[in-house]
Amino acid sequence: MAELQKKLQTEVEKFQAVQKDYQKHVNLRQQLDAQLNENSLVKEELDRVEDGANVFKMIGPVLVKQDVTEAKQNVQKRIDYINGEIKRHEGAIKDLEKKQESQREALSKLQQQLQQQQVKAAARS
Amino acid sequence: MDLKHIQRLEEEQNFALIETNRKLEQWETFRSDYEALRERMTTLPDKTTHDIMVPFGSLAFMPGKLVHTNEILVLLGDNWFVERSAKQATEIIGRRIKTVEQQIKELQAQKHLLEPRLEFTKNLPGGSRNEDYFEIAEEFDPEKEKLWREEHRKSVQRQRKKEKLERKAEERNKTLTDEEIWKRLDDLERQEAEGRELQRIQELEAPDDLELVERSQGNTLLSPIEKPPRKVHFNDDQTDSSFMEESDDDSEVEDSDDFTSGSCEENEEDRRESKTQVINFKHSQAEERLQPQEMADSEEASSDVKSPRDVYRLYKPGTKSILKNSNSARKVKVKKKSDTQRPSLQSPLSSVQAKVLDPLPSLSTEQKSPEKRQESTPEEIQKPARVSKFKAQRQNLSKS
Repeated sequence: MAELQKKLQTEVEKFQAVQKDYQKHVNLRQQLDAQLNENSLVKEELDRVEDGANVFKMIGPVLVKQDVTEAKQNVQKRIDYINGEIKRHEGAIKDLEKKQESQREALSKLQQQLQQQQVKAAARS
Repeated sequence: MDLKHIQRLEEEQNFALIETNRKLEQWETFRSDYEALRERMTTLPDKTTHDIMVPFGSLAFMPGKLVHTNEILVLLGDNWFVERSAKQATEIIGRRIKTVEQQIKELQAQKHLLEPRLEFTKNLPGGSRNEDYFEIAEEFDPEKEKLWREEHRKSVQRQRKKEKLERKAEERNKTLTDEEIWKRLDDLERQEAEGRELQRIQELEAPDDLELVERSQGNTLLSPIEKPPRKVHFNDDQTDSSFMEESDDDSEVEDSDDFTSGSCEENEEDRRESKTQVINFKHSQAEERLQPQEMADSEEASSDVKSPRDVYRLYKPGTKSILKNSNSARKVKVKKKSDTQRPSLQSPLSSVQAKVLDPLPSLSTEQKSPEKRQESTPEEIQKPARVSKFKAQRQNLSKS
């Protein structure tokens, strides 16, 4: 009886850990999504900017002058990077989801076992 | 549908709607800001420098000058700035406003979607508009049901047994009353037979008429004593008068009307009896009439006749018939309604049908006759006066 309970406890903890992980990844993905949108907007604007214009990048409290083409490239890189990140995170999320499911099943099984044991104990007593 | 679930649903829907509204508001403010900014863009390049009050912190201002009025650093996003002229900035603003408006549209569409859902949920029983709906739910436990069913069956059986016993008790009571009814019937049969005997006697020749009259009178005098209970009984059993026009039987029935009102009851009885069982009478010979008298007397002495069956046992069938002889009927009988017709009707019918039913009527009359004769004879002396007019006519005729 006690063993089962302990087992159940550990399983529950594992499950909770997995869930946390999952949530984290989901949040990250959302964030990345927002960034992606932003950067695509920036890209658009930069495309409109003619070559001679001043483009600045804010690094901390400082505005650093940038070349338009350079800026464009940077933004593009950033976008690509963000896309990659998103993909990675998505993969992780899927994995974690699967893990979660299996964890849930195991948990329910353990719970059933525990219940049966309890019933038996009640019948005996 | 659980009421609680509906309430929860309504809650959630409401929450979603509120969220949508909030976002909508936010975007609206954005738009208004951008609009203002656009306007500012138009005014900025009007002057090369603007005198303004520069805010120092949140509580102080400082007069200052706004220079480079056409150079606007626009934040594109992700910490990227670009230097633009006012005009270009206005264009950017225009584009931004577009996106904002797009967002607003989307949110509004969402709102349009959520609102009807909420309305519907509110209108459901259990929603905020129908809060006083009650969910009537009976719990169903198969095992409890089984137990209840067993109990119910047992109680039903008990009830049925009770009813059975009650019914039996009732029947027992009824049987007592049944016996009384049988007694009553016997009495009535006896009286009916007496009536018929009376009628039979009427057919006797003239000298006998007086006796008959007296006897009948006596009978009728006596009958009232017995009659009152029977009166009540018969009045209840009155059948339609169309019965009067039927067969031979009616002739006898009507004859007794001549005498007294008391005999009317007998008519009704005859009518009743003839309704239930067709009693067809056969003419009997005059000589045979005397036999039953003697036999009756002997019969009284010999055995206790308690029922017509006893009479039948003693008497041999075919001894006497109470039916009127066709010849004597023509002579004696005078109808109230149709005098001429009746005699002709009687003769063809009577001889044909009477044989089968002969013993019973004859016996019943024979049973009655001794009693009647005995009863009537003492009263003969007392009241000789009452004679029907037809009888009187006949007497006159015979005398004359």
